[in-house]
Amino acid sequence: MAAETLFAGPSTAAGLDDQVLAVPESRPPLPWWLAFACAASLAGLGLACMAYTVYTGIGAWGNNRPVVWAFDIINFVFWIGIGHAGTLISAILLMFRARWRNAISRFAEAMTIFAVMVAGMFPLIHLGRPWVNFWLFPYPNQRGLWPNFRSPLMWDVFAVSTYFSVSLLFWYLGLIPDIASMRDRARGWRRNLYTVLSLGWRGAASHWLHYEKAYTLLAGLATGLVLSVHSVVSFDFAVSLVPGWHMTIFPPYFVVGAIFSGFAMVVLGLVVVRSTMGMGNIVTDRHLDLANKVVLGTSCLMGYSYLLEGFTAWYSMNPYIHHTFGNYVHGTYGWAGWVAVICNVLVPQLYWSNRARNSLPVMVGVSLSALAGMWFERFVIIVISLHQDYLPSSWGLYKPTPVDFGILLGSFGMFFSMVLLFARVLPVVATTELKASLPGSQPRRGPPYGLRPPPPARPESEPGQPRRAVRPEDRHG
Amino acid sequence: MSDARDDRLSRRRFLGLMGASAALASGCSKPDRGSIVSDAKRPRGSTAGLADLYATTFQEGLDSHGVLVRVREGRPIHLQGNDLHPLSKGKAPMRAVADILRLYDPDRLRQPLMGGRPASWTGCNKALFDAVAAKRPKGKGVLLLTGALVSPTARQLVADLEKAVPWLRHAAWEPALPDAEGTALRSCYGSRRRARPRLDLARVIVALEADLLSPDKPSEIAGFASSRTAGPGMSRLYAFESGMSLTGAKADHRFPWRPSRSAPLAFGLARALAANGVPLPPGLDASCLAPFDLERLAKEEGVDPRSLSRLAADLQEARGAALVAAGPSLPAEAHAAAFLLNAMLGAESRTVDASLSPEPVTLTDSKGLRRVLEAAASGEFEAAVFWRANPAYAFPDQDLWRAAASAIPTKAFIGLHADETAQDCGLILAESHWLESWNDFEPQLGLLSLQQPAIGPIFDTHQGEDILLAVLAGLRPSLPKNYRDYLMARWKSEVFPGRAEVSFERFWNACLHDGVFSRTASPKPARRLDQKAAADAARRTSSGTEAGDRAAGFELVLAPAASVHDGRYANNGWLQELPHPMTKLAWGNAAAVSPADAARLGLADGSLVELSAGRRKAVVPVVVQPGQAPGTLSACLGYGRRSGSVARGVGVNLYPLLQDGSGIVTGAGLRSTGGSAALPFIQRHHKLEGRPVVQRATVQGFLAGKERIRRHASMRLIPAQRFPGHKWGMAVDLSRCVGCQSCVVACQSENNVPAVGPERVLKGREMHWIRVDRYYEGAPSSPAVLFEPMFCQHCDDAPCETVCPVAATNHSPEGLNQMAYNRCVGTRYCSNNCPFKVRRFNFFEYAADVPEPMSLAFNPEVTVRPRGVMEKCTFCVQRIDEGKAQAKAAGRKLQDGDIEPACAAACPAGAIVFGDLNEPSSRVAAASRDQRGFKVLEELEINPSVTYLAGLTNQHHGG
Repeated sequence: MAAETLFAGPSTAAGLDDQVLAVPESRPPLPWWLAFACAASLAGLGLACMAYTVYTGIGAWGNNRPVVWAFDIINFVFWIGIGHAGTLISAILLMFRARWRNAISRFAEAMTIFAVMVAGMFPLIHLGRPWVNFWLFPYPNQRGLWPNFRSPLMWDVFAVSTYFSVSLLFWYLGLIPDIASMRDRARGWRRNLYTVLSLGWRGAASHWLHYEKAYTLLAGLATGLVLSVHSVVSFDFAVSLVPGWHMTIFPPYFVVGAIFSGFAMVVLGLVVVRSTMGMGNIVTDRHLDLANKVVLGTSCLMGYSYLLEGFTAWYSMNPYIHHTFGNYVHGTYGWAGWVAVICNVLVPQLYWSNRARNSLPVMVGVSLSALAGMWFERFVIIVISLHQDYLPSSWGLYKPTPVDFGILLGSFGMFFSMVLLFARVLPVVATTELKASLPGSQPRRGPPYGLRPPPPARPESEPGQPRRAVRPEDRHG
Repeated sequence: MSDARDDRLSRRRFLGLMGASAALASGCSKPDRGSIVSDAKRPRGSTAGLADLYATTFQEGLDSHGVLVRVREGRPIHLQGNDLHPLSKGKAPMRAVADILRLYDPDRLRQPLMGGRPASWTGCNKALFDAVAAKRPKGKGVLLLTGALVSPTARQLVADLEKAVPWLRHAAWEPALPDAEGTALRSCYGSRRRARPRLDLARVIVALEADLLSPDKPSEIAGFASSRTAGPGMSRLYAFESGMSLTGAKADHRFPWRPSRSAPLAFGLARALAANGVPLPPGLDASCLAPFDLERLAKEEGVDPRSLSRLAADLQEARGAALVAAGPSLPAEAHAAAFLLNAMLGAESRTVDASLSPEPVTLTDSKGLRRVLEAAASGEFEAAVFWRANPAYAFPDQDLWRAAASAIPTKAFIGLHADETAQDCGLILAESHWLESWNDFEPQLGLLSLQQPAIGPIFDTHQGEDILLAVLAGLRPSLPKNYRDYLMARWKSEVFPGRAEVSFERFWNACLHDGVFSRTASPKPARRLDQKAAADAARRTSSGTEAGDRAAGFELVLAPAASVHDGRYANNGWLQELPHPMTKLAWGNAAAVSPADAARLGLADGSLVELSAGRRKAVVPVVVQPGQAPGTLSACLGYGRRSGSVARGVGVNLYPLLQDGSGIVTGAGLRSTGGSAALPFIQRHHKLEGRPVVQRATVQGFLAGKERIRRHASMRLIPAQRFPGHKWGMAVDLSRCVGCQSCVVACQSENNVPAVGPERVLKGREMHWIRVDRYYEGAPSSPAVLFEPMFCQHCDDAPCETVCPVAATNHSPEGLNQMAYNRCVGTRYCSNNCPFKVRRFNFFEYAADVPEPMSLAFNPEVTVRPRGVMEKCTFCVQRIDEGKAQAKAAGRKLQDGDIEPACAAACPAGAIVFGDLNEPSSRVAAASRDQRGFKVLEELEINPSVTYLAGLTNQHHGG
């Protein structure tokens, strides 16, 4: 059964290199250019809209009073959520030794980096005066001013920047041996680029020793961050006194939602990568099946969270919270609440079926539904809670402007532009990790990874080492 | 406040000269063009950085109000009431406060124009003289059309001019002031002398289509508020009205009532009282009251008949302290009926006081103006002068106006703006603002109040009286050269008591300082109701009602807007953005429709309908107004101007629908056009949704201890914040607050709050630091109305402060929640976390929209906020600092009342009290201990510094 196969790629390190590293070495095909042109145009549109906002003011958006936060923070929370799968796959699954992560970890980590970069932009541009955003950082200054550490936004600054730094380091560290492999294969300017990026990696045993230590250490750090970053983001809401925000369920609820949407995005990306880059043998149906199971599991947890939110609202006996929860279901924007429930909870239930979980069209559909649903969930939390809070005199409606949509589309454009560039410049699969799982690479009995029978013994092949990892001239540095 | 008002005695004797004339001669007469030029020598009597106060007088329609102008470095920045003025008592009407913006309006005429080109004053004055006074033009006349001339000296001037120019025909016309009351006064009392209603003395008040509490009547509001204290003597207000007014909103019993039924109701009450033994005025034929049956009326209007008989009993019981008031839009018969009731109830000289009313002002009503314009159209006038009159906008019959205008060869215009009428005139004489002008007024017999310039003319303008004086001086060279001298000369001969110990100059300066001069006047003898006129009115009413029943259609009540009035303030952004006090609609007018009619016709807020009165039609949006009497429509005049960069195109001009002489159009048609418009409401949700954020009680239940005000018992675990020095706090008495929104305008002026325009209000981005929340409770057909002024509550544990990442909003040691604008990065998180939603975000650079010279109206003590920062009420921290500094400079302890934020100073009802909560004897500390006190959203444990005192109502429960 194909879905049971975790690895069907080349059985040798050289073969793996030839398949994976050849992609950045070749000229991009026309479809890539077309896709990149689309994504870059959207990114340009988004940047133009942001520039317009910075030039005119937040009034360019639909934000008003009482809905002072809208698309800006929805997009922020949405993209931070997308950025959750990567670290989860890299760090937590690594710690749990779920080896199936190896084939998809690089791609997922890259998505994390790009998603957090896109997300991190929103808190900056949503400021009324973005040119003073550095005031959010505690740096010594002659004015003797210090940020307010009681503010959840301050916690956000640290949570997001820490998460980004650790994710970036983690990703880059994992890339170093692969870049070294590329360096060894490359010619011309690429060789110079990869030489710089590989930081002098020679594959020496001491390198591997330090690498493994650092990688595990960072994985340990990142594990905590997976849980903390979205918990802290949820504090923006949970710590306030807005009805509908002030709930203890928010941190786990946000983390689960983030993993849910992150995996949906990873599946979506992998489906594209697999089919366009011919990597079906490395990123197998089995991977997608497993990722889809995570989607299904987190979707059920989302459903539970929604129910619990309703229960908490009812149990609180707080008329303001009752009213807000009523608005989620049947207010002016109640439709958005139902979009979230249907897309996040009902549609992924298709995954109980094996066939659905392994059908590319279904998983593309479910992933898109999950992404849309999670965006609308943040719309529900932010816009619906804000538009009718305590004093009925201040209730109001919210309507986004074209600039809001431009920035939303632009955020997708930026994300996919970076993903596309990444796919043509760096190896989308962590060859190093896969090589470690190749037959004979580990001093273990039996097939360590996948169900492929062991190939004939090839004692001369050095386990886990790239074929041309070290050249004599490199030794001279 | 550096002004010498602080030591009134010496100022009265000596320093008047310094304060008034010196400032005029030096500081004020040079307009501030915005550039900074250091004073080589300090102008005498002024200190840079300290405001001077000048007393002057604001006039509008037939009323005048004593005001103080706050002048900083030579430019007026704020207005407040004159505390020495016995009628104003320190309270300025809302529109006077807002009118400071018109002083700096860039749309003002900047110099005289002749044939559309800038011209010299010499040339223009000569041209005017040639057109008006040089010689009788070809046997024809000259028309002088003005607004109401209330100033005795200005009237003297026009009378002099009429005497010198016999072919001059003067007509004074106020477009939104129906003359029915004057007609009724003349027929019933023989004189048009208006009586002053004494709401402070009345115990039972009946308002028939009368908005007694409209914001242009601060003294009435104050009188009413003083009678709303918890106790057995609390007044009871009954309102019978078509549209919901502030009076109806505050009424203990409000009856949606068609205006055509007001006169029958009043006569019916008179009949019921007479039946209960209240004597009718001697000689009145009781049979004329026979057709008026309260029970039938009640049935017609869908009202419980017992409530009307209870009202009759209540009135009878309160004889001598009862007051019946008929609104200006009602026909003369209704006024006569109210006079009759007042006479029966012994209100004369008690709650209705005519003894000190000044000489009535002659007005030409719309019918009279029609005759004048018809004469003009037939070529009777060779020239016309329009002064503070805008018939091209406000005269209902525009065809007649155009015919008249084209038949008058020479037309001159005197006014502040190149308005609709000015467009038709060849000679345009730029007039000075009243803050740049001299005048005098007599609001009450023996009470004279002076108008003095607080600034020299900003542009090359003359005050209208000066222009007419120049014409008169052409005929009588001996006259004073300018109006100030003319005024002084008249005062010297007629007002100056001529006592030997003071020179006239000292007397004059003392009067300028105080703004008012009281002399003993012999009150007019009590007037007597002409019973025959009253009986005639009753007979006309009974036959008229039957005729009115046959007319189909709506009764449309058109009244000047509370904000832009009759349209003269339509170019004022503050007033345009000030919402209608009931509908909360800003930037435009709409026809208020009753919920029943709206349901019947399928109308909703914003539906466009075509109103028609005879042949004339207008398309207006609709608001569904809870409490509107079915079969009636209410709408505001003053919108739909065709000139002025702010006013143009805002709202719909409804003057064309006015029928001559009355504010009520009977048989008005309403047809849905099927279209709709988005309406810029300042408040978008109108029901309380059962939330206990506004509380009220009946006075009986409260006094008996049966009705308690809900408080929240604190369950806090952490100790309360401590404020060892001052602890500023506020108390708002909802019993007193009438919802007039004077506080909103005063705050806007004091704190440089921008007006943002209709599109931004529509998006929910208005900037007001204080707003008056208005909630409806109960059945939409006849709801209860609750007002609640809402502004920063300066919570001790302010939720906005903890969430600001840069600590831009933080707490002062004196309990103020303060904003450091230049630290704010604009995350807007504080607004999310503010349960009162009083924080305002600068979505754009609003200050960049303020044109020159309007920026001169800015208060220099208050930062003008840049875009991207949050702002909100500061409790007028600049006034707190000023008060503390003054007390310190004077070497005394700060006293209660030394510091008054702009809203509290402006509140005509005295509903807002500010002070130190740590001072047990302060008024605010007493108020916060009041049994009626509650805090909004107290259960959030954020400890607001503002205590609200629950509103009390005084319903009649007797059988």
